[in-house]
Amino acid sequence: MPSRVEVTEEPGTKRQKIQQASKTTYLATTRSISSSLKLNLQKHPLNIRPSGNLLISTDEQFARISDSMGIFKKLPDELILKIVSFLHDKKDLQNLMSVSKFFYGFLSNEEIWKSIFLNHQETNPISKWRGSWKNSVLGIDPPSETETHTRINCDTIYSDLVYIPYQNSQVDYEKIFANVIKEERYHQQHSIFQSQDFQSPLDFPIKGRIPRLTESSMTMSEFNTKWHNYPFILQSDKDSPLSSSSPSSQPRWPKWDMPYLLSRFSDVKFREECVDWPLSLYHDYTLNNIDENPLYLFDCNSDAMKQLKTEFMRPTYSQTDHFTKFGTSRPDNTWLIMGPARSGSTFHKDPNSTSAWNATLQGCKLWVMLPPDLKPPGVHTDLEESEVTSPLGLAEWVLSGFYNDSVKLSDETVNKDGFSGCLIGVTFEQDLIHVPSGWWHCVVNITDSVALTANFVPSVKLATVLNFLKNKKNQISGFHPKTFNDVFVKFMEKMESEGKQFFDEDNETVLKNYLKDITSKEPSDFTDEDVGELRNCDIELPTYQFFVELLHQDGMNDELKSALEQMRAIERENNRGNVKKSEVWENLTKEGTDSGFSFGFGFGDDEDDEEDVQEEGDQN
Amino acid sequence: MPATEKNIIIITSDGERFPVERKVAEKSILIKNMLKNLLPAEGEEDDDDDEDPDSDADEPIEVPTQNVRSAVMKNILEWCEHYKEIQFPDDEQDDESKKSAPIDPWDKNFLNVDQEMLYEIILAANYLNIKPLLNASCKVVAEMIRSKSPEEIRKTFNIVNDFTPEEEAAIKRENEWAEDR
Repeated sequence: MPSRVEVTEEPGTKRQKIQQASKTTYLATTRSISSSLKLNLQKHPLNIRPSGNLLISTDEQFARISDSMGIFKKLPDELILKIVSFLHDKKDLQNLMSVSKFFYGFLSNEEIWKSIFLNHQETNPISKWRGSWKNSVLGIDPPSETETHTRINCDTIYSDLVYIPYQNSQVDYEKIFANVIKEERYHQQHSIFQSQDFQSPLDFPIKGRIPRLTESSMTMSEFNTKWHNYPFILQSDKDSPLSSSSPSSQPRWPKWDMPYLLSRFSDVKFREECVDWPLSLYHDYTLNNIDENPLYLFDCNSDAMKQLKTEFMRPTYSQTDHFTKFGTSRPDNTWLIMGPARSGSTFHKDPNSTSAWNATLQGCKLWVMLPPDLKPPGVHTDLEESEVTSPLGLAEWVLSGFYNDSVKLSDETVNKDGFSGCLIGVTFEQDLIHVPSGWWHCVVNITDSVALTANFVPSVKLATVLNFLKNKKNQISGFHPKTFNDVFVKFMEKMESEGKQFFDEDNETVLKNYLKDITSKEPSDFTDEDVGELRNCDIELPTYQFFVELLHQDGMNDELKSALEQMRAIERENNRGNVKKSEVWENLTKEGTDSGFSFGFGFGDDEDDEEDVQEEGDQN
Repeated sequence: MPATEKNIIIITSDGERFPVERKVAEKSILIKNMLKNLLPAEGEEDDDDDEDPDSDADEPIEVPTQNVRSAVMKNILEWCEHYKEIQFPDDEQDDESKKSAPIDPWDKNFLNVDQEMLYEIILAANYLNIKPLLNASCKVVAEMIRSKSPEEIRKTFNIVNDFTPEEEAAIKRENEWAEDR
């Protein structure tokens, strides 16, 4: 790969050095986590040990375990947990904790208390965070430093179920990823490229890494021609757009770190996964918790966000966003993200085939990204990818070796487009990363972090998104039915009153039927909750047809026609793909596979074929 | 073949053979998935009677269950027989409403067995993947914990109080704190 680098010659500069260094390519696997770091076992504060330690315990110890567990010794931990999960009353759990060392230790499992809290939020409100779910639910303050505190010695528990979540909660990513962080920091300071330095993202010289480019070099045309299908990190330079609230000497992105946001929004409720907590409560939580997967603030609709949304400049390359055609009925698209070290997102693809940018405002984040056709190690999906299962939390995913497997893919695998099997990057404050449509990604907050992210639909991905809305209806997410209907009804009224033509007759039929359908129902039949994936909802929103007609009314006919043409090519390719699935799959999963398989769109090469697909499509 | 034919033979760890109807055996998702690969689904078999008339579909199928002994299997099958006409979803989610729902009276009576047997039923229901039975039996154990003092729980489950006096005092303090809330 380095032989293909075409960087403008600038003798003696640092860039030149990088280029030379890259000629002696070093493998991405040299940045695997060493097993000594992975196996950094922590002693549990209650002296609970992993199941495997039972093998080396004495007869006397076995007798003590039997005493401590009683008849429950017959059951595996998972079933004891299941029994405990049927106890909802705090008093019952407290009594059980007071029975023996085994039960005291077993009930130190935070998941039990978190689930008690989450399932009974109304009856067990948490007004103050006390360092753990257990203490917060029970209202126990952790003993102060001056107090002499008796720790219960639960040496009768040998349980992975209890030990491993604790072990994972003690993971130190700064240490584990020290080499990657150091290297990325170096690149951040010394090896920033211009988009124009490369004819293709594949020319980027640093193997297995997400390219770093200057923000001003990522023009709309650079993006549309070269970069739309590849991750990159943008660093601000003197020509970057500035945060509108900042004078020109200020940084590119607003400095919204935790202290700043607290000073403005301390009492405002933000959405943290399944809870809505005031920022001050969430802040206390981030400072001190032992969750294996800490709660992650991911907020788009809080009162604070409504203000914050207006206080920054989106990157230039993202400014064409066709979902703006939906007006207020577009899916949620701009989020503030905050989380303590160890929080993050397991592998996923962004919704509705949208692209996204993500700007780190505080802290640093590790990104692991794979092209759309390569399923990440340790992740399971069904064929349609409507169900994605990541059985492991982030820490376990990293510690049990899947991170190393991913790094290995950087060296050994390329996808159908010749992209490296896996790309890794670290974003620091003021870095912006691009997440291309359809790419798998997971994010680990190495330190406490704040970020801002937005999804968008660039012109170059219009066909992909149309295809998603048309053919993956059951995976569409983020629309709010009530708002959607309001905007839709207004649109239809305008079409009627101004006597406008629809772009497509079939669309017209579908949309008019839908209009009839919703006007016959009570408005209260439609929720305005984000319906998640729409299959959980009784109604099917005609998002595809509406989107096409909105684009048409916006006067972008040529672009629309060409996008629909491309969409049909995608459909044709997918149909063909289904038939040959196993063969394709074989090729893609083969280690070190070459990109011998071509996914060229081949416009017009198969006229008959295309008509067939069109007919099939029209029935939808 | 009559639909009620007992053409599934469940063989227990101690070698006993239990002939049962397919729909009884299929209360176990483990067995159901196993049979899916061996037999056409019920109802489908009539459609293709023209092909393969000597198909061994009428032959009984033996299903070994090495983790369950006959005394326990007898109970499990009694439960499956009772619910054979009821459809449970294969991958029932443990949602909260189900968790707090009271135990079905028939189940409660059925599970009124000695603790030894109760635990064996739990283990078997878990192994055979019979979610509704697993949930009911775990709920029965939870009932035995509910509203009991620590000492009563110890007695019920034959547990020894192994805390040191200092530890016991610390736990007591912790509980008193909590009670003040």
